[in-house]
Amino acid sequence: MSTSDNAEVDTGFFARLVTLADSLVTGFDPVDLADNLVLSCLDFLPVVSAGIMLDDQRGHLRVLASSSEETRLLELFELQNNEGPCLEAFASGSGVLAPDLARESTRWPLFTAEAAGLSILGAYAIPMQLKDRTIGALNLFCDNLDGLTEAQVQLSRVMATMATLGILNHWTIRRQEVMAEQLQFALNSRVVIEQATGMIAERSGGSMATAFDRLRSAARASRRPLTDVATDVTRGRLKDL
Amino acid sequence: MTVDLTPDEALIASPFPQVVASGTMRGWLVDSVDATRDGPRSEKLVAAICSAVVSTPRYAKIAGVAVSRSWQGQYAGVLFASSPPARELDSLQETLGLGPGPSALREGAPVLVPDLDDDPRARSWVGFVEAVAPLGLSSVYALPIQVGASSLGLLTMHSQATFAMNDEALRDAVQLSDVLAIALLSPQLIDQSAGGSARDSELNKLLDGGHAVTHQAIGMVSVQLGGSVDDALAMLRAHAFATGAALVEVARLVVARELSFQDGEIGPGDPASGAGHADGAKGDDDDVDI
Repeated sequence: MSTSDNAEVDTGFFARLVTLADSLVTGFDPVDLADNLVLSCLDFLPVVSAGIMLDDQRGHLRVLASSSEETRLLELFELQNNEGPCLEAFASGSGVLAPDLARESTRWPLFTAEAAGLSILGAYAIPMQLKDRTIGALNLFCDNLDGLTEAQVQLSRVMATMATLGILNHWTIRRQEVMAEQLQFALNSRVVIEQATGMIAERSGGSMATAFDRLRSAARASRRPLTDVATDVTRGRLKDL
Repeated sequence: MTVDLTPDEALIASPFPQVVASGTMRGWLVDSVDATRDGPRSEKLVAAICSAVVSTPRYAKIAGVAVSRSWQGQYAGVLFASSPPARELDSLQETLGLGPGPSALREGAPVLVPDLDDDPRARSWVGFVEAVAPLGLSSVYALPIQVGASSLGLLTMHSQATFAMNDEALRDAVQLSDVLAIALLSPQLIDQSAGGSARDSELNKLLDGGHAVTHQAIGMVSVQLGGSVDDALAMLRAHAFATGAALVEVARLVVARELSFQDGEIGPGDPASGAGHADGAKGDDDDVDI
């Protein structure tokens, strides 16, 4: 994990940035891109977990990608439909920086209690925006009180912007209908992945986190989009994961 | 507005295409199918829901609404049409295999065309624009009715003038497709739920609000039943309804391996059998890796 915030950024970071940027123009799976982004956050920022939440147009924020599919972490992201940094970032359109959650127990009593149970001490939420419209937020959790530097917060904004462009992949979004189509497409892809993960966990008797890792490995080994491999699992075409 | 519906069309593609599993599970599913056909029928609910939509002021410009069933990404018969042009639009798209509807079914996402004469996709729908010209429509909104990987049907709205939906109308349309999914998959639950304002809260329980754990549980239960994700969702909803719990609460028990529908028998599950126990909301979480 790189925690440097000076000009000496390692080349691995640039290589990853190039790969992510390439995927924006070569055609891709929005869930794949979001998955890559949250894993990149773990590699290049001093955070212990990362997630991308998206407006589902039904009055909720939904998880599009999470650095772990462990159920309690997913539910901590979702709990922010009631209160928490993600909801505030989404509602206000501004970044919410809470490096010390112990100070926020009055502001977010439910969220801070649940976060403490998962050893999460700090939280950040960066809104994902296109023009004047907020479509979701990037959520980052820290397991220490060191917090993110200003440069690292800037990097989080770059990640959030790339996620936005990855989900709204038409460069000419002229109408909100097109935005609605693409948000629904991304979220439905995510549902297919959740169902496939449940099927793999049931067959293997393992955890959701392990089941998702198997799914991701299978997708990478065959160089196919995550959503395609997940669809094969839900349709019974792939049973040996 | 005329409710244009024939019983034959209404029965095309049962909401339970695969009656699977054994014992009590099979009995329950068969009962449900019977109930669907003779009592709380999907088509009645769909007709009631769509009739309410066309009379909503927000959709005053919508000239017609149709709901078709789908099966494996293809049209499987018109279930409801609020007007002859609405029926004709669905029939034409089914025949051509082209247009906003077939695209929406293929992509698993809405295809919303406020102006048929000014949409880049219209060029790839060879013959569609010409074929629907006599119907005199300018905008078509096609929304898949689905549960994750499983496509149940298609909601199509059209208007004669070009019509750009505002954000609120779009959100309503997306939520309408969710309610139609329940009407197609678990009509008896809507029928049994309380009337009036209490029905809203019952529906909200069924709609769930999109929790990841619900879809993880649907995947698990589909393997336990040896059936489809539709079967699994119908089973989870029925259990939630019968026990008065919210769908998400039932899903948490399944993922924690405290509730199982193995071989169609509702059981307590076997938490000791899987390392996944720590995943559960009630797990001990000593080995949580986040």
